[in-house]
Amino acid sequence: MIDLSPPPVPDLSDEWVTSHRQALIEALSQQHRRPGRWVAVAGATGIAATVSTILLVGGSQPYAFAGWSAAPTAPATGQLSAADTTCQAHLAQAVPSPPSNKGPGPDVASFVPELSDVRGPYTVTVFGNGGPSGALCISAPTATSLRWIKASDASVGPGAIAVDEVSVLARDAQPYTLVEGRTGVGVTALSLTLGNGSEVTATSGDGIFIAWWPGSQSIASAQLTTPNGQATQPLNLPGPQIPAPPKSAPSQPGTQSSCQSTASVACGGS
Amino acid sequence: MLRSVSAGESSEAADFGHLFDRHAQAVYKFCARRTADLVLAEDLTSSTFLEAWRHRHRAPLGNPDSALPWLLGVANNVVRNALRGRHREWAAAERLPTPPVAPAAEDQAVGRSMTEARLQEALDAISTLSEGEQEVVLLVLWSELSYEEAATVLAVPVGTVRSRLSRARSKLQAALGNRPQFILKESS
Repeated sequence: MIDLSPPPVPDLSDEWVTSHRQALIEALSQQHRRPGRWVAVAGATGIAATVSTILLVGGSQPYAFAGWSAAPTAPATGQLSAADTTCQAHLAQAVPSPPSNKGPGPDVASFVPELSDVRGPYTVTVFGNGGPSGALCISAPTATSLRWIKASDASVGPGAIAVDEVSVLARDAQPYTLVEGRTGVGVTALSLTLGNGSEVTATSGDGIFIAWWPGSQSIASAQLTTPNGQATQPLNLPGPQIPAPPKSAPSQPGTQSSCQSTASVACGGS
Repeated sequence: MLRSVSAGESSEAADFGHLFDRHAQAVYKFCARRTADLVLAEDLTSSTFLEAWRHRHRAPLGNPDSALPWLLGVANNVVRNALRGRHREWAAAERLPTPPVAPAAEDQAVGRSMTEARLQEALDAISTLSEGEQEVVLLVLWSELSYEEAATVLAVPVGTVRSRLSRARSKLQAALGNRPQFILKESS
């Protein structure tokens, strides 16, 4: 990853600013208002469709996940930019080792950020190039980690979701669960009901979704929003068996247990 | 830096004067980095504020901080038109009385020349990028706008800004990775 730091441009002199300001004011004060023809500025749109939410998971926030929320939050100024920069630095240094051992690894240089899930200070971004392989980058205030993902070949039915991967990772020796999958046509939003009854709103967009939560609660079902209304899709995905996380381990690939699905709701076995 | 309103200044013109005080430097640097020509950048800065004045009903004058992305959007179009040989904005600038500014001393002229050479080198470095990618580099990396602000300037979705920047990084990585004068940097 490389960014250009431009050569500095010296400031305009105070004399220039003062004199040109005065000239500008004098000219403008004499002008009459004229109809505008400027049309280039328009509103921006976000990349991720996120929705309302629900309940917090657990009663108290473990320290390792301070600031986490069950619903996605609006990114702070510069948060996505900083996460992209860090993640792409990791991608540039990474040796691709996709879940599939068949064939060459993905063309990491072509990866672009496709979807970001922001929960307080944490940013999880899916990087991909439209192909079946991609990377999940998890950015926290003090650590960033990367893991390779591979979408299932199985199609996703309209109005349904497919869970491609559920992983239990560790941060500061405390587990958290990360889920990534695909949304079928018509799914505009979704939330996940965990095994303990709590709910987590996923971030979805461009046919994929992401969510994560502290702990290792399994996923019981998904509540889907479609043009036809709300629907519940049973998932019954048990959380992977978690190895005891290493003490003080940052969240790094290799400190997780995960499952991958080849069918819409089969990840982890049901 | 805000200035008091002088007698004879209309309120709107005074507001624009404040806008000029606050953002002229940033607009100038944006123009300089797009053109690698400091004298031209001065002219384009004046043109940008004149063009902005024509469309002041769209300007977020109530919040001076949010005016910069809007002004850079204006500047982006002014520069683009200038570089494409359409001199409408230049002609507008020429209608302004030219303030008497002392010519640069010789050492200043040398400094300008060196700065322009470095700017041109940077422009050359990103010349392989598409126009859209160059604009994102200029706005996000060189003018320190957020993704959201750059998206507003360019009237594209935030995701497009991110994708263009990502592709730009990949291309620059391949083209410039071994050139130590380019360093990693981005505002946060």
